[in-house]
Amino acid sequence: MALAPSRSQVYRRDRPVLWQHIDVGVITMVLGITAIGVLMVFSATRGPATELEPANTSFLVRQIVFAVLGFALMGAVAAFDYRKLRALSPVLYGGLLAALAPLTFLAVSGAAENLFFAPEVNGIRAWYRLAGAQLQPAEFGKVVVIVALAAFLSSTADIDMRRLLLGLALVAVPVGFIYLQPDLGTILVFIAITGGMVVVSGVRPRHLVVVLVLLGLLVGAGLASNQLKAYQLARFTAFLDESPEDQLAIGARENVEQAQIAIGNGGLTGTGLFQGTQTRSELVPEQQTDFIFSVVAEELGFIGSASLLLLFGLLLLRIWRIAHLAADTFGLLICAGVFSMLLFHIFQSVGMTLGIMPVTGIPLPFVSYGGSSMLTMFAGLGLVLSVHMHRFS
Amino acid sequence: MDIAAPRVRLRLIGIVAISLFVAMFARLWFVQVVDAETYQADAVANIRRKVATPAPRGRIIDAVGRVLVENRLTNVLVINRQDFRRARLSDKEAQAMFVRLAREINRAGGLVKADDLAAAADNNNFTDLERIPISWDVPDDLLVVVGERPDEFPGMAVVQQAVRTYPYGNIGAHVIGYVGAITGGELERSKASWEARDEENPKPYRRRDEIGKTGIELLFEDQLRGTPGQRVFEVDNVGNIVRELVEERREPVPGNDIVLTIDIDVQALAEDELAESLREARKQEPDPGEPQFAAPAGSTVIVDPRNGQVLAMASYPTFEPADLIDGVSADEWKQLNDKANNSPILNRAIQSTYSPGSTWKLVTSYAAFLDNIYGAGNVPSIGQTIPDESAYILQDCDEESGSCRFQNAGDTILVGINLVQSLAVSSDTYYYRIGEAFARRGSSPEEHAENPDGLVNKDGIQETAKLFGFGRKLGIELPNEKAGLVPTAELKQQRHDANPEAFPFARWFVGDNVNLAIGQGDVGVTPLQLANAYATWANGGTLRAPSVVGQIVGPDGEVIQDFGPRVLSSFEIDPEHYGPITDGLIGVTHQGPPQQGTAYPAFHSADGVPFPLADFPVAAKTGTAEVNDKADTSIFAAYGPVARPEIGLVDVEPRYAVAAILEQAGFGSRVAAPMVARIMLALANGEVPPAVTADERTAAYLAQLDPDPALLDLLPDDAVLATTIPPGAAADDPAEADADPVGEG
Repeated sequence: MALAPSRSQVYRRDRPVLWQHIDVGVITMVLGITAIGVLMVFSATRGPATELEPANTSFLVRQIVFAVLGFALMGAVAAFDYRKLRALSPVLYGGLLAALAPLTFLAVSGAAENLFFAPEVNGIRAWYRLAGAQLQPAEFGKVVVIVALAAFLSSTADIDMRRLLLGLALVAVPVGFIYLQPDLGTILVFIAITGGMVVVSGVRPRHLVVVLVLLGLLVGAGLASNQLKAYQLARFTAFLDESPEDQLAIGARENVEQAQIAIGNGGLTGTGLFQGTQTRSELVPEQQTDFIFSVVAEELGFIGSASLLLLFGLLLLRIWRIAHLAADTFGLLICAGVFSMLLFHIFQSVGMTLGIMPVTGIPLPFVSYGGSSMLTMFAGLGLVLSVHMHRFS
Repeated sequence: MDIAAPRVRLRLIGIVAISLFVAMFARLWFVQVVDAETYQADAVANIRRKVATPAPRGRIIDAVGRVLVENRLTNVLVINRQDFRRARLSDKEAQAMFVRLAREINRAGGLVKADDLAAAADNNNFTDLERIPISWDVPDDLLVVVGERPDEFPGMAVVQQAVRTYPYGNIGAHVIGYVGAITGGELERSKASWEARDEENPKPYRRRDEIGKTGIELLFEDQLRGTPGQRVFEVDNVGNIVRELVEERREPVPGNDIVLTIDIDVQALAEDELAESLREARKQEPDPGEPQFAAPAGSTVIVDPRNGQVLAMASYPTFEPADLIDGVSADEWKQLNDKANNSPILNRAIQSTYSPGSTWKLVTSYAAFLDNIYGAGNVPSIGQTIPDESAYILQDCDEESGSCRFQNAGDTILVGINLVQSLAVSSDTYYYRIGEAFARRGSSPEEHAENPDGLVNKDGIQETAKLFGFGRKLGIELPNEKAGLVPTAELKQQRHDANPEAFPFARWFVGDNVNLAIGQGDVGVTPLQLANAYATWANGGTLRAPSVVGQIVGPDGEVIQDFGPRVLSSFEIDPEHYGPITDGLIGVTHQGPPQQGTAYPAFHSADGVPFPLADFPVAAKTGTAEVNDKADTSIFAAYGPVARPEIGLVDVEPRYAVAAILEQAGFGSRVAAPMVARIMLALANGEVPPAVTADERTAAYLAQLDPDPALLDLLPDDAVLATTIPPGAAADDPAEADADPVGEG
């Protein structure tokens, strides 16, 4: 008597083995976060939405497109065996430098502001304009640097001083380019990624001290130089100064105060979706991008914003667990890099609106409006998923 | 590299992550839960902007329901700076736009300059949320021009706005008053800012608000002023309106209407007669060496003795309230208040005091009854007659007061003077005796209080004057009423003590009492007091507070307050006293030659309509007050119809008490009396001509210029031209001015 195959046998045979090890937790969290983000971007950009002037949905539609593209990119990256990236990392790294160099050159040479393929925005030249979309190579550079640094740090068993410095130099080159563009927020992200990965890589404690001193000197020198835009410095210092005198700093301080008023206005339960008065009045600048957390907090209240943070926390926990389970150091360091990147993004973006971090614009992952950031973050998660899925192969 | 080490190190970044998340949660909890209320308060202040919506001011209506002041809708060109900025015009483009706008207005018949429009649009008194008026009374064409070409005129609109309008022009201007923009001082006094409005103070003032400046507009400001509505808008970070918080919208409530006791027809008649009589008085030739009859000003008041209601209150010169709506310039202000220009803003009926002259004899003759002066001393008893040799020398005169000889106003010798005749033909010497008797026989107030029947009150005339309402504010519903003055010995002493240089004499002389007895000297009365005193006599002794306001009516027509008569005090008149005095007053108008009553000619004019004295007997008194270095004040007080049982007229009671005082106009019998006779004739016959409206005046004026009636039909109903015609232009018609004066004699 021929037995019918068990249901599980059929199931197992129909699915590729690879997807069996996918981390549902990561997918669930990121989908939840992205969905909140899409709603919030819509709320921040729909305008007054009166009978005469219907709600603006262009940002909503594009954010949905970004999210779908990002999700697809995550899938593609996850399916790709991360170990093959070790060999590819020099190519990726070279490509990043090739993409950054022209922008840096344009920024330093002071080319026309409205250059059609590389316009200047807020004094920063960090974007390419391609077929109607804006691409920010430094964004993707975060993932590239994670892969390259992970490959470099995991290639030898022991990391001595020379190796460590070489690793830092590896990051310093693209950071130098970005510094000249100059994009302060992105630089800080690179520093955070590097710091996290170096710590995890098993560098000796005394070497870590050297790294910290070096970083301190670097940041000091960077701030002291005239390279950074006045408003960038003003925002940065406004965070520390309760009543600044400089006009730029006053403006930055006001932005932070407006953000906190919006957040406080949300209270425990929030004003309700699309009902945030501060959001509707666009009192907080850049509320669909850097200050998006103020929208979440105002409209969804403490319950909503804390839930979002909780989702982020759970996502990081999953990533941390995947790092722990990684089959090799390369995979582990990739996860540590993505973990550090996300952690810094979240803390900087949320902390800025809450007034516990300086004002420097970086997006809240999966929530802020923007294609480059969305794709970068999904790509990073794709790497993490790949590490997880390929750990037995 | 051993993977174990990195796994251990992972814990480090895990710990970092946990601490950062704890920090975020803690801060979030603090901002959103602990401190939420503070932030929420800030959030509300952040986005809400209150805008007041003006409420229409209440109307002022005459006793018969004719609207004297209402609100006219006019086209106002306004700018919304927010929308204007959105158009992002360069300075040059903006200037060009204002030039185009001015051209459109001028083409449609307005008259503006582009620079003025631009300057008005820049007015810093307004916020960007408000519609800023930049040109008033723009032609209707602009509604279309601006309304249909928003691209050409960004931020511009023509809206209709209510402004004060006066269908009867300047008739009743002093009673009505005028409105204007609130001043800083008035705003300060109103002591309430817009933000502080509440239940008790629902309509505080804001800058630019309209406020009553004089007259009813001032005194009933609280009633007339509407309760402004409010609209609350949510605005964004640059002040653009995001939406209106409709649930917080409050509709404006129109102010209450004030119904006057004034009959605008009677008012118009009184004003016309007053102006006309002054004009006629100026034509008199003074005796050689006597001052000119300048007749610059005057007043007449008509009171209903039955209830104290004022039917008409005229003051000359007058002003055009419509000219003052858009603010009073420094020149206009000077013009209105300048004494050299006879202060047109002054309501002489209540704000000017005059010596009442012989009209005061009503008080003196009655005082003499109350204190038993008749037959005492040098005063003849009732019925006893004396000759009036036109001069009287005081007994035992000590000369200290400067004069012991008192002379009648004229030097006519009168015969057979008793109390009745003393009033009818106005004998001064009769009253010199009474004044003297009060001074010589009067005891101190204390002694008099102990023995009121036995001793004469030294202040008898003054005390009696109080019964008639002299020397006090009567409490009419108009601002700045004067109390007038009834001099006493105490007062004279006080004034001397306070300012010995201006008042060199401390002592009250017999001569002071003699002057007082004939209404000369320091005694001062307002025209209203005079009319009201005769009304008090006419109604048998009830002193009422005269009123100009009958009712306050809400915007829905509901009567909010009804002002009944207000009795201030009353006294019983002994028929023994009433008879001879009233007979004397009747004699003034009735007693014919040979020794005729002083107002007999005025009421028996050879030409014109005869006065129906048989049906409408008038009791009256003329007065001629001397003023230093100026022509005499012409005074007349009258009331009627008075019952005359002796001719079978018993069923009437006086309905009108009239007083007229004309400055530097000569004898009361010559100017004031004929004027009052003409007014009372119209009242007696029920033939008061309808008041001429401002529109009719305009039409008449235009007809004079171009008598083609077809052109008049083309005039819009609310012809704006009215304000461009000089006040009284129509009345200044030379043909009218040449008409024979009535009642001279």
